[in-house]
Amino acid sequence: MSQKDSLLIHIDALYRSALYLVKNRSNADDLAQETYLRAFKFLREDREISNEKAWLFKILINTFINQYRKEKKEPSLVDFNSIESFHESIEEEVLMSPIMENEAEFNKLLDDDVKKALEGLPDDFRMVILLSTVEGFSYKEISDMVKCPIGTVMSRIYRGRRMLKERLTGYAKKHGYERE
Amino acid sequence: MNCNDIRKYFYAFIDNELDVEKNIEILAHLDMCYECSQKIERERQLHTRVKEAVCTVKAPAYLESTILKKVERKPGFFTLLKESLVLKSRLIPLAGIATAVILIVSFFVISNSLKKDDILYLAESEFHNYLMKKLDPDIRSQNVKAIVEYFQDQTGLSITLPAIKENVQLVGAALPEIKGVKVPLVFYMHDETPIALFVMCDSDSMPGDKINIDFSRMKELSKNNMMLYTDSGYCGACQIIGWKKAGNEYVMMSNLNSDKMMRILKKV
Repeated sequence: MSQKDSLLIHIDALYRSALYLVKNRSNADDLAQETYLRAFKFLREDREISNEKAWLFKILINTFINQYRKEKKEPSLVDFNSIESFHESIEEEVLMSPIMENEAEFNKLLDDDVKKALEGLPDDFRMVILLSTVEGFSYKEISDMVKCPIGTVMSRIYRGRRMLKERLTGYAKKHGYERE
Repeated sequence: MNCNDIRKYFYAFIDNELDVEKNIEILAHLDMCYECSQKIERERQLHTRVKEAVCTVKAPAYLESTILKKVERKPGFFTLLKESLVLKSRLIPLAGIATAVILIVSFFVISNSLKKDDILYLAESEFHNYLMKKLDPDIRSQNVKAIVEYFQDQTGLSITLPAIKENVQLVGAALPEIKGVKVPLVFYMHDETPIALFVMCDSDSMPGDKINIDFSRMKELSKNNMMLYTDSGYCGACQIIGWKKAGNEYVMMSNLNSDKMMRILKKV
């Protein structure tokens, strides 16, 4: 298998993340293509890549931040947690912990609910959820991709999941009532 | 560990980010605490649901072939050169090079210096022509064999081109006249930087005047049992590396630094 083929194995993963990042198919196409073209250009440099998937995602995130975020002129989130470590920053949040009472049945959720809830999250939070929950990258890998300290990544994962869960709980409950 | 600690390590535990010791402590607590283990279970269920939903998205069937097509469609010689000339970041150095070329040319024309006979100087002028798009390749090809055959047909010389790394694109070749002798000149592109390679063939097999390169005033460098010579060009922006092999003399000229040029050569 050529180097290119082994990178193309990740095309579905790359495309779905691109789609959730830019939220429309035509831009997702462009973003995925741009990511691969950049990756292939680098391949010619005769270098070995140890973790291909993580490396591709790093290029994807970088391209997204440089091209699409600039176009949108969306202000980047303030990193007020970047200096603190995760456990320190989280102490204050223990009261609003991820564990919520009366959680609804998540298996009742429709794919569309998840899509809507995820797309409604701010870019920085949606990005880390895609990278952690969906693609299973480690905090360290994510911190390298989004170029933020691990503490910030953890805090974004924490807040992002909480926001997501709030939205999904709403949808799940709605479906629950509808079916009753 | 109590239920509050679990809240603190909740996500780190789910994401397998805890060290073995902490992990065991949490597992021990979950074993005893039904409530916490339920909460962890439900969180995992939510993650699975999110993952499942996102993973239903597949890349469209055409995407892979579109990407591969785009990679294969390499830009032509002039597109590359145009891009390389138009790039803003290159305009300043290029303007500098152009000024330097004009200055050097006028200086040497006025003073009628001996350097006109210096093969390296002449080679550098040819490279500047290439850089300034004045010199069209006589043959445009990415095929080594086609270029070697072209030289053979035109001059009767059998040229051996050095082995070059794949990331360097062969662009074409020309036979400019230097001191009345047609000298094989090969063009390459490394990303967006043009490279010119001159092959001075064994003077015995060369028709007309003998031309030889004087490597003696250049810096000598021994690499992989081969002697390489490096120097800066007359304009100050060009770098030259030269070597001898099987009676032939090779001169490679580019704006790349000499280290990069050496790395381009496969075995050296």
